Amino acid sequence: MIPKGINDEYEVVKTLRETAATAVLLVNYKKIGALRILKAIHRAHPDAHSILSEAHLLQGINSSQLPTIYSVEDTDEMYYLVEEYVEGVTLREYLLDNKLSKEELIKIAISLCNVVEALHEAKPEPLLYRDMKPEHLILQNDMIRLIDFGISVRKSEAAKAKPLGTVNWAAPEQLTGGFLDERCDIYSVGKIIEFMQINSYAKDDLRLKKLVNRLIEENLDKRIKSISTVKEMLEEIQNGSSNKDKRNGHLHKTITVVGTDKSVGTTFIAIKICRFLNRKKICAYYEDAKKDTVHNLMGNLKSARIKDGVLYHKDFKGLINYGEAVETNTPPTGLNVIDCGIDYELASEGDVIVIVMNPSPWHNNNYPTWIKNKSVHIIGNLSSKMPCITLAKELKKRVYLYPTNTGTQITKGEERIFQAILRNELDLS
Amino acid sequence: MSNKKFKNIKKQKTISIISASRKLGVTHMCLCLANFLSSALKQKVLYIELSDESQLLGMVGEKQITILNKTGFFYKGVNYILACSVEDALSLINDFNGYIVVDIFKYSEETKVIFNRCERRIVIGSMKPWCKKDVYQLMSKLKGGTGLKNMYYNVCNSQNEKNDFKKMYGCSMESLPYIKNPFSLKEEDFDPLFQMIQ
Repeated sequence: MIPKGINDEYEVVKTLRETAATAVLLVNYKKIGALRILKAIHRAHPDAHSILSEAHLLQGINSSQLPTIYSVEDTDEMYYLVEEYVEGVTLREYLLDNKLSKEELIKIAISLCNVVEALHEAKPEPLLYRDMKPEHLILQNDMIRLIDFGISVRKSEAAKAKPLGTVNWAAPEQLTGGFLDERCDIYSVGKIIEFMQINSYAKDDLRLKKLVNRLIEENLDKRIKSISTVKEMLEEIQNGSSNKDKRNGHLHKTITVVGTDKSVGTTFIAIKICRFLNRKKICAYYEDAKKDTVHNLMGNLKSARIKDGVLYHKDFKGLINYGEAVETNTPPTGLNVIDCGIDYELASEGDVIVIVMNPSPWHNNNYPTWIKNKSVHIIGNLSSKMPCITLAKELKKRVYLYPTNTGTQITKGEERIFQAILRNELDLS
Repeated sequence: MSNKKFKNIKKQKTISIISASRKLGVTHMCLCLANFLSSALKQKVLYIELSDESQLLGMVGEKQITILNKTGFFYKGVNYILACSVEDALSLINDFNGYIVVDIFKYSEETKVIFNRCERRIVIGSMKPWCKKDVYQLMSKLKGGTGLKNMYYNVCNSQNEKNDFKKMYGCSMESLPYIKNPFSLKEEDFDPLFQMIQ
């Protein structure tokens, strides 16, 4: 449905989309011979006001990554809006023919964060885009430009907005009509980064994967809250190392210890690592993410002390996992040794990952895909030398054979293993 | 805080609280105990609200569950049976495997059965001049406090009165601990709560 009365000013070059009551046209603005997009909608259409609202929404947002709106006009029959024609290829088209390098991917992702940041910091209140998908991202070199604000809303109006969006790209709470804030766009940014990662040479990059997991987290409370934080994290990945780590050395690092199966000695080794570090005067806290190990220790250790949610006993410091009805304490500053049980996903969050396994042939060991990553170290426990050598050959990676018959004291054999694992990671001498 | 108290914690116990006068904080103290047992000691806890009407539904009634074929609620690690009758309470005490905290709204001929069934019985009273009478009346109903180890009162009183009470009823009087929020306990609250359950 092409609007009447526009022929004096515009010449239709191409009809991009057309229905009985709406049309999106590529037009030539005759006066200066420039290409523009003309969106028209019939007055009687229930979403007729969306064209006006799109213009109002983008008013005053200062970003070169958003299309410029030239005019909003109306005829007897319809409203129409004329905006800048954003030249370039969509992200989807680009990725059909190209594979991104890690650097390119991060540059594009940061550019995407910049435009979303501009929307979320819009005055007088944030704007939620709600329609992020590769078709709406136009690539101009390494810069992303965002188009189509048809279902965008101001944050204060989000509660009344219809549950619209594209399945697989929109946040679950957006599609089900749940509570909406900036985090719905953060979810979609995560989906876009995931999409780019699949089509890139950085497919197995652990840090990117972890970031994506935190962005597309279905639980709103666990999802990253601000797009500026996402941008900072991407910049950290871009710079190759975390600024936080540079500031605080090893104090904010996390060592995750995970077993390939139950009863392979994960908890035992995690506690020993914690004690080893404390003996080396590195303040380390043990935490069991899955069970109440520290609680059980509370009742069984002699002359232990409890203060601010921490159990202190000789070289051991354990974070007590109180229930919901006890006031949470601020976590102490120090290195965290997290016992992840057999949860690989949780373990992948660690800066240093220790996988404990029993490589004996009768044991069923399922390895995570990232086992060959540099920050992952393997300990063969409760086993003899040969299965460890076989496993090392299979994985083309060093497997440390854990000494048997160790008591509560840290033996020289254990010390050698921990020293070897943590030397490069924590600058242990 | 030393970890000694965390040793030898029983896996099962029934605790009930009654009060001599109204509005002395029975529900508040029961909630403190239940949350302490569940969140700090990681024990399985059932809270029974023994009254005709529930005062806690609005607070804890978000997640409905079934406990031993009865409709209950789960909130911050504690199982709740609200507005429970004496018969239901008795059957729950018989069948539930874990700690049970019974909040007795009013001590009467009917509810005394439940109170007497509990291993740890706590009485809260006030020794203010206008409430003292209620305390002595309740103590005579309890037949001189047989089986009570401690009686808790929420107004400080003289040492002489404590001694007299001990001589008369054979149970000691302790100050009622001040706990600000039963759903957000602090480590310093643990000691007096330990004392109440042991």
